[in-house]
Amino acid sequence: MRPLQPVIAFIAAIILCSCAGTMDSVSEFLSADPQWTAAQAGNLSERARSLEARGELAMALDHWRLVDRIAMDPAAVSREISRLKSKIAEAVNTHYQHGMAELSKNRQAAARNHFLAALRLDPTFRPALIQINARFSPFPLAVHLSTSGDHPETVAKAVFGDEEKAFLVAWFNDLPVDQALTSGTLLILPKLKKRPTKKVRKKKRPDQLAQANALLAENDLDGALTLAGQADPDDPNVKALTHTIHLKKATVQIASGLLEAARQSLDKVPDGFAGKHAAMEALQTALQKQQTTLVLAKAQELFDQGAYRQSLEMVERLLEETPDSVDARNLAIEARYRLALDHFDHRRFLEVREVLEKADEGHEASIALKESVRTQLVNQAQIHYRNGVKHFINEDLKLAISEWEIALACDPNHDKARENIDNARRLLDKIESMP
Amino acid sequence: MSNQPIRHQTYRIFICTALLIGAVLLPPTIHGEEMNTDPSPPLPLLVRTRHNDTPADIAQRFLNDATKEWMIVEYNGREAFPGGESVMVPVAPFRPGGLTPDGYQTVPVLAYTDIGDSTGQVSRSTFNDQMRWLKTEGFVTITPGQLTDFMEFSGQLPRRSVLITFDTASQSLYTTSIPILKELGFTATVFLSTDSVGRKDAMTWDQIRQSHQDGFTIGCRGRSGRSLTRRTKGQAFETYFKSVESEMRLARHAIEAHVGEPCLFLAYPHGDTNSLVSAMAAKLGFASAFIRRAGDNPFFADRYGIHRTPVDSQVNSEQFAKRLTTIIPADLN
Repeated sequence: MRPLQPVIAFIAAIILCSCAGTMDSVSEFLSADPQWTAAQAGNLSERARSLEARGELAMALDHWRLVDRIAMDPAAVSREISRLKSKIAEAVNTHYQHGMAELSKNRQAAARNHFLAALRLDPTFRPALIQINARFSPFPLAVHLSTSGDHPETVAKAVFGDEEKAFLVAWFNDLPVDQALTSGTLLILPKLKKRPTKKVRKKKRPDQLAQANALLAENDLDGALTLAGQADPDDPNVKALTHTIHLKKATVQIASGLLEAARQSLDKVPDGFAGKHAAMEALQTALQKQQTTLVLAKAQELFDQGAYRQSLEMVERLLEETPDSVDARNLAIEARYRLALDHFDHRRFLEVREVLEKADEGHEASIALKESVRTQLVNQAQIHYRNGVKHFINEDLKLAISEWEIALACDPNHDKARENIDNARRLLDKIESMP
Repeated sequence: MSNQPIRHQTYRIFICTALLIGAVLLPPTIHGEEMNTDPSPPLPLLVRTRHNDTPADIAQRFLNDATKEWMIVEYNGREAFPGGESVMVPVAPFRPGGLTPDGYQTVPVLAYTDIGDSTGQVSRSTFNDQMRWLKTEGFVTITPGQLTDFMEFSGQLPRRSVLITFDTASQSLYTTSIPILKELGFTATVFLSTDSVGRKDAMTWDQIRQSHQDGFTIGCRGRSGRSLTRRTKGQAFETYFKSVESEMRLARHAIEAHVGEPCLFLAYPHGDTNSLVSAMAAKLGFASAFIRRAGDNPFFADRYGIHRTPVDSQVNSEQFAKRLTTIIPADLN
């Protein structure tokens, strides 16, 4: 057994190597030869260039760094690596600066895209990530630095406008609710809306008519109406006050969307009473607006269900009637973009272009998509153009024309395709007219 | 006894030889990783493929995880690898946040209420068709943990990722939907309200544990499943706060006690939240939380308001496909 021990030790070492995952590398290395290695270096270099041309600079750099390990000419590769590193650093810095400039112009989407572009090129670039997290990534918690003499109550008053929310300050920071806070304590708090300060209503109680007038002035319409109802109904001043109250009530009801109630209030005001005509017009406008809201809600529902085309058609009809509706316009922009995005996902580029013809210039995602599709269509046009040329060379003029027509549809500025169609048609006419 | 030193000498020679072979045969040309102080991200491995290698084989061999085959495919830009060629194996995320020159990734999250024949529910056959369509289209199902990593800009997801979620713990989920998902190699997340577990027609804790062991994520949807944003008329704010806190905390503890692992994901009951409830979810230790409203989920979206697109019986196959957008075009060049 003892003479076999060295052999066993050697086999054990090999097995250990294998278990450690090195055998693959070992066997591959043994089977590699210089020609193979050189060929791989060539392939990697070629792919690195192709990635760089597509804008994938970080991946291109990884390829060059690998080539550096196996290349015969490391000096040339080192130059490529340095060049690419500088190019990335420069692009990252430019995007970051542009992002900050867009922020100063309050163009949020453009700024965000520049920061994303910087991160895409260099995911370790912290300034861009900080901007994205701080400005574009919502988070429900915020921090607050306590000052001298602070208690949970004072913090709640300062942050939430309500000292009764002191228990929130305590709960979110695992503190007793009555504990004084050391100055400079970093507190974590929910992002709640600050409660507005309550307005104290002052009530006056002079004589009945004056009291009703006072209540009217304070917008206590029901109170004013009750008091007016208790006064002499034949008194012209009381009548005028009652009509004024009904009129004002109608105005409030219109503003609150209680249009049927508003109509009933206005019915109690005689025609010709000052302000009734204007109130009737306001009611008509509100009824129209309500109808618009209902249609808009239906369009939004269709949008939420993913029926973007139907949603867009509905909201475009609505816009013909109410071109100033901001909500309708925003929904139309979003529905148009989503519909285009759907066509884009299915590579229906011509449809995308058609849908985005009316794209809002201020909607950056739509404009980016439009530009992306334009590029895709120009590329497709070129492919169809070449196919047309192949058919032409093969003397199949009809197929050639058909391909060039597609090329022209993809890219209306493709003059060569237009010219070739004309020439091919003339040629075809001549051939067909030949005896 | 006199042979002892000679034998020791022989062992030493063999051990040294083995170590030498090890040292020489771990060449940088094959294994791209280096132990140096270079701050650059770790280099991909450059390896040589074998005859009939699939991306899954390569991922299993070098990343010890066949499910990471998408990394091999996406990094190399191709799906077939003839034997003898070199292939690059990324050992770290190479596109964190799913950023590409043409746009940024968004992760669709589907929200099913239940699968069955009741009104509004997606039928078993429709669910089966939808899942098979996802498989055919190359979608990869992910876990909420993977989605959270992605949103923290530390992880990368397959280009066509989807998160499937259920707002139920019904028996029909266990007996019909989960088997369909398992057959296709898919995973999903079950958001349950803990009071309903063990009731008639609901899953038992044993079945929930089994589903968890089968790779399904168990998330929380409160204790009773009542809305956390509704404050009853006349209810004091502090009372409301305490009831919301106990709904989330007790449900989470119950799941952790039964499943035996931290419960890190919350689906707001009724799909609604407000700034206080979201903040409480974060404070209570949920890593992310989901609303029930259609929308995009890029990496920089709100982690405590992740959009889920509802899927019900009204959704036809065309609309279903539309809900699975995975890239938002943008010029990131």
